[in-house]
Amino acid sequence: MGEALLMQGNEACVRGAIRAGMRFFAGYPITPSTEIAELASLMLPKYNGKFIQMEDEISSMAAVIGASLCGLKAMTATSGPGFSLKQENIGYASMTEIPCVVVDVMRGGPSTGLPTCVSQGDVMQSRWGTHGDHPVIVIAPSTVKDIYYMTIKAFNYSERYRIPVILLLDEVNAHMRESVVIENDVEIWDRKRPLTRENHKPYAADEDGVPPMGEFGKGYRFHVTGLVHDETGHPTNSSEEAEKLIRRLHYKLEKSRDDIVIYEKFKTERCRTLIIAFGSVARVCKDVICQINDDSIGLFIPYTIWPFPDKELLSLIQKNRIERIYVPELNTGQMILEVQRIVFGRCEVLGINKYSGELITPTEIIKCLRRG
Amino acid sequence: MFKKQVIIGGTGGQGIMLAGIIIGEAAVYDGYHVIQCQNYGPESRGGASRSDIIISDSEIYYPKVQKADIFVSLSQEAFNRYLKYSDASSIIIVDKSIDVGNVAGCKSYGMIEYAYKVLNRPMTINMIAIGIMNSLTGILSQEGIRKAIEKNVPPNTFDVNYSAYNAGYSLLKSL
Amino acid sequence: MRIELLNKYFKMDQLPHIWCPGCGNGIALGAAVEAIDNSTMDKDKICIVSGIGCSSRASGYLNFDSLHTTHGRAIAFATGIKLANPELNVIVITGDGDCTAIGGNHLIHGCRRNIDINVLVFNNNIYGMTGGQYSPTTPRNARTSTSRQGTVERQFDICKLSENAGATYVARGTVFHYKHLIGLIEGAFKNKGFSIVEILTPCPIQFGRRNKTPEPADMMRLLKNSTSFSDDGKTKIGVFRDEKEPEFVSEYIKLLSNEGDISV
Repeated sequence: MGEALLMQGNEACVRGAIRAGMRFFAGYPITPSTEIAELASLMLPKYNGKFIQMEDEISSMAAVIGASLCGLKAMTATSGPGFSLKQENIGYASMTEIPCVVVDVMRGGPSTGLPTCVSQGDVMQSRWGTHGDHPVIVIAPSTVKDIYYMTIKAFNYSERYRIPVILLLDEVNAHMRESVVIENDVEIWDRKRPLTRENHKPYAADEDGVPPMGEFGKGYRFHVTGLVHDETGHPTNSSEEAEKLIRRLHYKLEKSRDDIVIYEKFKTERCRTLIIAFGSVARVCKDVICQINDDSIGLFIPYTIWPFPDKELLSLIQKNRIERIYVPELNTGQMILEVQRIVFGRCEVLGINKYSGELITPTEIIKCLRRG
Repeated sequence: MFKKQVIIGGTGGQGIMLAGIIIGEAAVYDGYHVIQCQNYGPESRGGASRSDIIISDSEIYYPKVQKADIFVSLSQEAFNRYLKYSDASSIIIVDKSIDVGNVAGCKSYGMIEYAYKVLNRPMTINMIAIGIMNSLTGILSQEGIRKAIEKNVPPNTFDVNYSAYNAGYSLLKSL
Repeated sequence: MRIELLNKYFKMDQLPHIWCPGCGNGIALGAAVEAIDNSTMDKDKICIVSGIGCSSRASGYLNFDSLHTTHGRAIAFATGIKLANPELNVIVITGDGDCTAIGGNHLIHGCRRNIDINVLVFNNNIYGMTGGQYSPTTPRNARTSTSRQGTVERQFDICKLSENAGATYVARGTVFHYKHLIGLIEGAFKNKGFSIVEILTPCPIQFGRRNKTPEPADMMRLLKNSTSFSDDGKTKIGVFRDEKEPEFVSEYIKLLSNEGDISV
């Protein structure tokens, strides 16, 4: 076990990323994510890695995809308005299956909103921000230690499944410093490489739905396009190929879904009331659970909010015969929509919402629980 | 269970954030669980700013200070704005220049004056404040503080900062 | 273009191309391929990056590593590629709308960084793929599908724009002056820095038909008559700037080391 360090959330993100093998970062300054770019600019060159401050968030996303195509693990980081700007190219990465990690540190919105204040308003944007049907993985860590390890997970998933992974932080866990002990052993995954350059079909997938990925400059001479394409990578207007491609893009995640979802059950053994919370709010809820010390109330934390751990939640609801679910979140009610979809009327689902730019307090949550 | 919640308040530019980080890091060296949060406005100079530190021997979940066991204020605006996070049991440490009104039991020291006139180093007011705080409460080890200062200030200013801390630590007796 | 180059550098199974009869894009691409063939670049280290539009389809026809990106962003993708792998020879193929309207910001910042990328702008003064709307290089008073009474807006001079933004190689040629064009593109490849070649090319279908030059030959004649190698008031063609200045990637990689702690 390593030494304990006082680490900022944004710092944990950069350290985790470099540990995962990140060697390219492109970004554009925006509060409250800026420390990620600052630290990446300082640290990456020491690892033979590259940092570039681009002219905007659109080009940052583009540069990250370009670098990933050259074989480097690449990341960008932003917040609210910048996340909106990145969306088109996130869709491009999704369609072309180019691994990359996108950090969105959530702040108050819409628009410029509250730049220095916390929110969880990007739950739906992280899932559906870019146009069209597309697969995506969104991971929302709660503590600073989570941020370190889940940044590594984000890279691992992105490389293995050739998909953009969104790491959803918030102003509270990104800016706070917390004591963290970094373990020596972590698992690092790399992308699959093609076995041969002969007759290289860049989009011919293996059984897991994921095509091995070549890199530019190695003699594969392959084409990449955001248009619907066939196994050769070239555009096609064939409706069969279009359907096959979209189906496979979703299949590769569905097939590995059980390996992807991350969640935590906190004191749920005997609970009949369940709180479901993510990000910084999850840790506030742990405080609540410990304060009230009543085993009829438990906590479920989804860390992958997309795909949501729906099977796991459902089985808990059924096993414990949950009567009521509370969903506290720092927005007007986004994750609750997914919870309601899963619960499908099996029990009561109530939202606890705060959107003032401040973190919800344990007292505020307890008040709602007592009100019934 | 050991748990201390600390708020350091002041004006932007007084090194409030750095003070919070040094206290937090010193507590990590002492083996505690620590959370340090900053509250800041868009202006990086002027205005009231505060740094929250929670130190505990068990895991900390809620990351913000709800009630400060220790409240240090280096400016009038910060005192007025953050006083609500303290109560009668809190240790309140303020600079002599601050009008505390009818708040009883505030410990008032001429920190700013000392930094300007005695040390001739206005930038070290945060170190003096940490020194006073630790001298009054004894929550952190001297070694932990020394290490934390060493790690967080430029090497060529370590001596100045560390001696300012020590001056604060022993200031109680002289004031 | 020399016929043997077709088999050498094109993905024959991707042809025929989508360009209309009379379009100059094929000539412009042919000149680019001849310049590539004349160069000493390792052909496995060439990477073609394009945006969206008629000209940007060129990337898919060439037998190199190629990236057909999002509208306007080719230079931004290319920047990531060049920085990630400085060994690559990065060639951006883009159009006037892609490069100077939606992608204008990336163009000027590419110039400012002087990153070693070669940008070939196929300038046909119109948005062809979407059906003939006015672009930032459509001349004043020209008729388009969104300016039926004549374009009111003024046009960009791509070369002046790039030169003033810091590009170190700036040239303009036309598909009529084919051999000259090949030379200009070769010059771009030789420059270690941001190079841009504006290639004037006709779009008889979307531009010509609305502007009294419906025949491809009319438009070719126009290219010939409206341009000049000297300063005589016509649109000047040739090299406007070819200078050596610090290049971004080679400057940046001087900062790199392996001193980072593995345990992070």
